[in-house]
Amino acid sequence: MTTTLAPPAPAASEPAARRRSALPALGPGDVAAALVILLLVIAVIAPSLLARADPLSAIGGEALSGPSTAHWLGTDYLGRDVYTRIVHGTRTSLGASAVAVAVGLAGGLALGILSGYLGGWVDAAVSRLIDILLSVPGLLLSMVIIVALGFGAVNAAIAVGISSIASFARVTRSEVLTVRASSYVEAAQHQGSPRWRTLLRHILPNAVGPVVSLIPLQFGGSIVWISSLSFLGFGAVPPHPEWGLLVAEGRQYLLSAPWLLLAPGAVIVITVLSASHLQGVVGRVRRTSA
Amino acid sequence: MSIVDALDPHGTGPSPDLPAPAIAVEDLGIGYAHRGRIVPTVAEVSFTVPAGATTALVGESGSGKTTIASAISGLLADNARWLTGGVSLLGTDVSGLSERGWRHVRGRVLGYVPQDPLGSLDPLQTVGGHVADSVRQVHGGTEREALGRARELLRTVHIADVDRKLRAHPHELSGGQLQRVLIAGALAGDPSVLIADEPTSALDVTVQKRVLDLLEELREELELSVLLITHDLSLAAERSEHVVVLKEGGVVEQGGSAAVVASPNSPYTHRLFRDVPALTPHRYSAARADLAGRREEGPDPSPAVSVSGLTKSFDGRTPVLEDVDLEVRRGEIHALVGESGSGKTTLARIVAGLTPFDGGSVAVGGRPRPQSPAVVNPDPAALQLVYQNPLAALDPRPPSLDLVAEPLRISGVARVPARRRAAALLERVGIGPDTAARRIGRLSGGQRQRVAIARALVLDPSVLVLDEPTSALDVTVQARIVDLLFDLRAEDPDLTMVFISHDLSLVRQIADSATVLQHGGVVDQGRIEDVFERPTSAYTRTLIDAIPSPPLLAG
Amino acid sequence: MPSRLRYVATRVLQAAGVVAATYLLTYLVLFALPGDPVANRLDNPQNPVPPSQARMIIEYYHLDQPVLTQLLITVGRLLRGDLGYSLGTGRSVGDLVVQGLGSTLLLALAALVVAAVIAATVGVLAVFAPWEPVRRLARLVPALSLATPSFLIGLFLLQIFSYQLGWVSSLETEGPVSIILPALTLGIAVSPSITQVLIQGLTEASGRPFVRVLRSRGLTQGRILGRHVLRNGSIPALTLLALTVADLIAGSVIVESVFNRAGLGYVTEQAVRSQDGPIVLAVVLLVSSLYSLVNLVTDLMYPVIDPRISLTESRLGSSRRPDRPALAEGT
Repeated sequence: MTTTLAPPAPAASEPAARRRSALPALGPGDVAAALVILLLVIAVIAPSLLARADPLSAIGGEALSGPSTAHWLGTDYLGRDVYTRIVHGTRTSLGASAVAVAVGLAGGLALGILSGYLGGWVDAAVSRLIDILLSVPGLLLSMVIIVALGFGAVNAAIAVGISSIASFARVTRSEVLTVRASSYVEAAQHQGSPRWRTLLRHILPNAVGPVVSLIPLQFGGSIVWISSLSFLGFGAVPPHPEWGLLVAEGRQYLLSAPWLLLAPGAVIVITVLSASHLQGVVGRVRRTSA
Repeated sequence: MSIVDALDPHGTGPSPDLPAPAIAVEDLGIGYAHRGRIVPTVAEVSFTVPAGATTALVGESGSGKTTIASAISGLLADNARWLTGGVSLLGTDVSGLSERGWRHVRGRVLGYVPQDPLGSLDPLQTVGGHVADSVRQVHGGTEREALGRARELLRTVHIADVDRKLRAHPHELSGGQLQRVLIAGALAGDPSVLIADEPTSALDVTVQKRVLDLLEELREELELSVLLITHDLSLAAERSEHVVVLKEGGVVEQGGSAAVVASPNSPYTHRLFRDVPALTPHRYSAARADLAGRREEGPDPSPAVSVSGLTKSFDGRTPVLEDVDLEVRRGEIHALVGESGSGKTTLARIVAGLTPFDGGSVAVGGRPRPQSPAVVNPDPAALQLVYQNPLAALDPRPPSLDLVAEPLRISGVARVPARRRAAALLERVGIGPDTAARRIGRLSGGQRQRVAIARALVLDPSVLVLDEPTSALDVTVQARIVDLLFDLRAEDPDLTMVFISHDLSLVRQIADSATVLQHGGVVDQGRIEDVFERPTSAYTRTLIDAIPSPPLLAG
Repeated sequence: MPSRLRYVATRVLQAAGVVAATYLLTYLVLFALPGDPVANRLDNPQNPVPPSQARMIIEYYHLDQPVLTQLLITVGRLLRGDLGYSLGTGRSVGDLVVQGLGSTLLLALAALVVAAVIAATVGVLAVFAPWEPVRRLARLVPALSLATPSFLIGLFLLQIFSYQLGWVSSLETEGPVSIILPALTLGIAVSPSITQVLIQGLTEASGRPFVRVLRSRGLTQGRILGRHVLRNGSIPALTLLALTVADLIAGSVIVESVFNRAGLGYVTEQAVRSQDGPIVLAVVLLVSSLYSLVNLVTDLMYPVIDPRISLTESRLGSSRRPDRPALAEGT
């Protein structure tokens, strides 16, 4: 005499399951950040849509003129339009940062996963490597690599990327270790899941998620580093209009033509702020969809 | 009819000659501000805590008991809003008190004993320092005087080796000792009313008994009035003279404990008490007898699980299990009973093939287990484990349906039939298709455990090992899960279960046989009736004594 | 206790090992990769080295020998205290480093104080200020300083305080006063991560059950915050503060450039510009030694700050410390 099981009484005394909310409420900050990012993306893909003039050509006779209707952000010491140079420099600045993040992420993920999953001497060796990389501050490490590779925007990007491998690797390793030790991974093995399947279906998706969600923040950090290197003269080479370089070029005119460095400087700050704001949004989305 | 009579249908309230009630709550309504709206949590709550007695405030999670306790002690969170009603302590209205006003009440009139002993003390401060601070806060005086008083207080709560403990930090003490320290701290200001908020939830049952005995002793000696907040109904029934039953923010019933337990007025209370194992020990007797009868007809007498001379130690030094013998007959529920540190979970995990062992033998369905089991289970259909915490044991990313289908996919079943079978099984355990599509993060505790049980059953294992499967659940939810387990057994009488629990009243209710463990050794074993009625070891007797034994539910 | 001493000795050796490995790795990157900076330097068209000097340099660094030999010779010299010679100026690396170190250490110390003050102020405001707008504003501060590269901060400060207000001269070194702006710049630049960790720590500590219990004993909010929450919540930030020393020295490269200060940062910048390997190598050695030393001291000091941690535990374990066995169920 089997009774069909009645569904449980509508959870009167059980805490109600959280109702699935739509996308988290978007505030004005989110909109502003999204707009900035949109503009930046356009500037990377099709800069001429935003700035008609040629960033490299000088307009004689108008050197060091302040912001005006003709030149929104003024002109530099060679008469080049600052706004145009900033727009066209976006590709270099953001491109370099993207390369840096890609290098850091790829290296960090690989090291972290190997270290966390294989354990044993591999873990010990990789952890020592991470310790070494972390004992040298990022900026100094990238300068070491630049000395070895030579100057230039690409080299600066690679240098910054390699310098950020350690932090990606450390977070990845920690996540992998946590997931590996979790009950649900053990449960999967208890159900007979072969190692490759457990790795692919349970460990990687759960461990890599938090790491990948760090990308916007790392991206912002890379922009700061790369512009710092360019400011010092180790990154992009003139006449390329990379943002940090633009600030360096404008440095001598701090007194006479402050817009030369304030404009690219402000762009750097706004870009990084938008990136970290994006970080916050990513965090909120992950939490509400969990 | 006075308000007191209206609130007190069982007629055990104070007569007009007695002193004012220690706590009087009238029409209390509290809400929390959340994203611009106010969510009411507690409404129309009225009850009294008579002086000189213990009153239990009882309710499941979400019943509002913590909110009420906070309101009474002036510890409401910043986003709490007092909507209606009032609270008075010893006759004085405290509802409108400012923070400053409350500081004169806290510790001085009202003492608060929290749950979570380890987190409730500043880890950087010595235990003596905490109690001394509490003394000085109310009585002033020099540090030396306060420390002296602290020493006295610690002795009052039976802390041994007081001088050394004064200088100890919280992490050096055990849970029971910490709870005593907290009680000492609550008494530092010589209050007349004590609020104990789930003071023993995190403790082992024998420790729990000692702490509650202490509270009773102090109550008598110091003539305190105690409000005991708990979700443990049997505890409430045993340890209090009056009881207030809460449900979803409202009072459902109140009165003398014995009377309310014997004949509850509200259907909710009736159902609630009926689900308490301690109050209905024979609830499953018929079902168990029926199953036993059907088993007699079965052909296979060999044990489903057999363990012989099992030993295990961590790092070769700390012994965890010593010379454990165990036999579980096919189709039975065998309980592994013990407090923390007894080794019961390790034993279960060894039987499940998840943990290696050092000596002896373990066999499941006649097949012996190797001392170092393979990481990947070679025979998942023989035995499956249901973990204690489903939130940790289920991958948070896939929908629940996929989690249940996964064992089938691993064993080679194609995607569509696997999902179909999983869906059918989930229906059987009470999870409909809408719920099954959700991730476990969006399910309630009971639903998650059902998913975990379904996942364990999908390969049709002969043995199910359940590690404290209901410890984290409300008592009504627990009862539904146990009902489910019995329904599953009725459909498949050969299904054997090994049930780990520290809850002896639950074990008495559902198990056919049991093994009692202490410090890694078997101290008692046998048919459930034998273990409970004729225990051979003193430890088992202590455990049984420690079970809250309230007057049984009539009918 | 011999086992404790053994533990300390092990940790010291480990730290030394990390420093040695860092040195080796840096050496390999600088000198063993194709694109040999020494050869580059010698062949540098902008600043060619006269052949006689080139010959001397090649001889000194044994550039004609295989890399491994070069390495061994370099390490041998290092152990004797000889850091080599600058490829650009021919001056002793040791002299250059020592010369610049004093000024930079002073700057770093001043910046550390600035960073601590900023972090403490912003952190406390962000968590405990009674008005919501103030709290929100305070939380934005670290994000803002994180987004602003240090050279921008420096130039901005220069613009305002030096040029516009004329408070501080940008050209001459006026003694102790001239350290203010650079210290502010560097301090602001390294403060955001400390601030964020402090905010996290204070928020977490103020949500812990013991706060409620202390309230129930009648303690005032101020006392609870000041004596209990602050101590518990600032532990991670304090350790981070100590480790910032390495970032401070690295940051001095930019700050000294912006403010035209001579120091280790300036030396490093020049060395990188002229691809002067030996100097860069020496600076890396110095910084990584300093970092490892501070790391080691912090680890060993941790049990003093947090009595929960015994000496042999890693301080990283504290946040994941399991409940006491008496409370935990299930063994």
